[in-house]
Amino acid sequence: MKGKSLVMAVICVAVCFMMGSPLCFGAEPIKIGGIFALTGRAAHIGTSQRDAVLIAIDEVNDKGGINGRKLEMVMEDTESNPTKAVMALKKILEAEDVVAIIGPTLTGTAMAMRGFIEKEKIPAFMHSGGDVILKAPLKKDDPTSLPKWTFKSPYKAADAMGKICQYMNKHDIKKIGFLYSNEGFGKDGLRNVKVQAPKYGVEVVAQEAFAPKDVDMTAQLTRINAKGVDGVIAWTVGPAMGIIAKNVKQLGIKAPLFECHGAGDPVFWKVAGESGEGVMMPSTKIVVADQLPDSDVQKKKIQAYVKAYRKKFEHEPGTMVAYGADAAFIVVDAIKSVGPDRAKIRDAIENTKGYVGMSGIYNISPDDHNGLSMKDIVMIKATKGGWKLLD
Amino acid sequence: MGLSEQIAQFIITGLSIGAIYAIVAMGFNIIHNATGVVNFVQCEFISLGGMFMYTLVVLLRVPMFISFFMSMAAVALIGALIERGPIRYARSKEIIILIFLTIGLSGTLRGTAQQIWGTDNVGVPAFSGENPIHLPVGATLLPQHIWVFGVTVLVMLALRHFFKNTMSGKAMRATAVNRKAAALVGVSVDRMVMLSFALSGALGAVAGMIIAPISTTSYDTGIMLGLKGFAAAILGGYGSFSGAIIGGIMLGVLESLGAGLISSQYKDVIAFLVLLLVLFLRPTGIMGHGESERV
Repeated sequence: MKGKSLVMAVICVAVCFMMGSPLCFGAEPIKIGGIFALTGRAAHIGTSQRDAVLIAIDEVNDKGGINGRKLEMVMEDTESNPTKAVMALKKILEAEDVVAIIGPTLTGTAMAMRGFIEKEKIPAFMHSGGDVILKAPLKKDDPTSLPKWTFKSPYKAADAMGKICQYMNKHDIKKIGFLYSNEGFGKDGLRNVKVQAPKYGVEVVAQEAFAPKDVDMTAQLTRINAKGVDGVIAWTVGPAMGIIAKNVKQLGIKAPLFECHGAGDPVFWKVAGESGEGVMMPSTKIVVADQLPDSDVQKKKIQAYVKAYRKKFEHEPGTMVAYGADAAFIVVDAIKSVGPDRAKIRDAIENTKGYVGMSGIYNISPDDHNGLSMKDIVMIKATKGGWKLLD
Repeated sequence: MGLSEQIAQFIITGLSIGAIYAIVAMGFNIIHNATGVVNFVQCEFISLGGMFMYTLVVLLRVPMFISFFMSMAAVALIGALIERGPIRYARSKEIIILIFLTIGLSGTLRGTAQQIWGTDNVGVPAFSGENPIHLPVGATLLPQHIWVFGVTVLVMLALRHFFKNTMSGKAMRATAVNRKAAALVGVSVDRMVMLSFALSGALGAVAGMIIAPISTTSYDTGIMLGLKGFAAAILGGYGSFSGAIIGGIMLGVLESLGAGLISSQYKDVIAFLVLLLVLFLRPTGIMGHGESERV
């Protein structure tokens, strides 16, 4: 008798063990769609955001998934191209039963996907920098037709711009030139700087554009410099970040160079080289985690995440990893609390309050599908291949 | 900074970018003259040149000078292999089919490069420092810009010597004028065609390598430069060598002046409007003459 109950106990333990183990997930996995710029000019951002999301998914699955169901990401590449982004979205929606979309990376691709997302009624947490994806009405003639299903994890570009202008105000920079890439993100920056700069007593005396794949911006910078500016803001991501830094050094422009909130990434040093030294930019705290004061509520969480990131990918995370991670964790939390139902997930995301993320503290509401504010942003300076936290 | 200094800066910038376009245009022309094909793999030659250079100089720490020639030889070899394989054994010799074949090859090579090097843009150190040089006219340029000009001029002189004074060069020109007649007088036409692909590969690689320290490089950096070089070749007269130089320099300077003096927002529009205008008035391009003399 004793032997029999022992055998039963062993079987019980074994069954329990197997039910908790990944081998024994009986149920279908819950699928989310991941759409990133894995190739093309924003590839360095897209791939690091994908990595950030993968870490979040690993973490969930290591802890047994969501109600015994594994979480799985179906991934597509936008090739940094709006048309391809829409095709990628359609492909995922037709082929797979996904409950939410994470991504895309670029503002242009997000704008192209947005209408489709709203029509399909699927929650999408995007990583795009531009605010226009939340602010531009869906129907031209109806200003109240704002997106209901679209969210974005990076803080508002307007706040990032405001942060730069605030810093300029503090350091007596009054006349600036604005250099932007001639596509969605850059134009969004131009709109923002026109609103934010006057608030902080900064005047934009020159504005110049360039094509995202241009290899030389000295013509534009010469024009800006001729106006006698005491600060330059360059609003772009990708190789142009480095080319501009090099061109500024080449032309001997003394005015300090500020770049956008996407520049705080290891790739900045790859494209800028030594010319990157001294360039300032707004950033998430993830790149300066160790320099944060201990009183910062995000510090511990960020440090733990950075550790996991380093271990899995063997390199330093860039500023935009934070956006990918936050979008993924908030979506995962929503799925955990309401189950795999698109409409309920949307509502849950919209009700996220006080979530301590990598990029800041999210307070999402029906009027604000981003939820971060200017105080979540820090100013950093490119120093010796790394980053220094500014006051 | 006064207007004249600004204009000097725009022209210097335009010349250096234009020199790159000219080399690329030259690559297109050489293959066009030998085969009649527009070789879109030219774009990949540029990217590969830059990426080989990056691999050798930055990853393997081979001296710059040696890396330069190694990369050039490697891409020339790839060019030759492309001719030896797919182009020579294509079952159709229709020009349009061969052009599509090069588009396919271009995609294949780009995909392979992406697998090998990833998608990040990477920097290559400048050939000789990064301290700006101030010209008396008020413009500044980097030592690398001088390298760009110098190498371009050297390449052009070398090509001129090759086509005018060497047996292989003369044989290549003969092949371009009349393939059958060239074969009849004992020129190995197949070898000449292969040589033209190798030469184009080397030219593309040079363009990719000299621009890399200025613009950084990646697996797909050649697409934009390739297309601009193609436009330059058309502008100068497709197939014409002096046309390639004039077209390249003109396109580069126009872009830069357009961005600097008129509007940076319409930089490419201005350059391409001029291209359209030239083709409208002179459909053969600036230096082109009537029917192109392809084989």
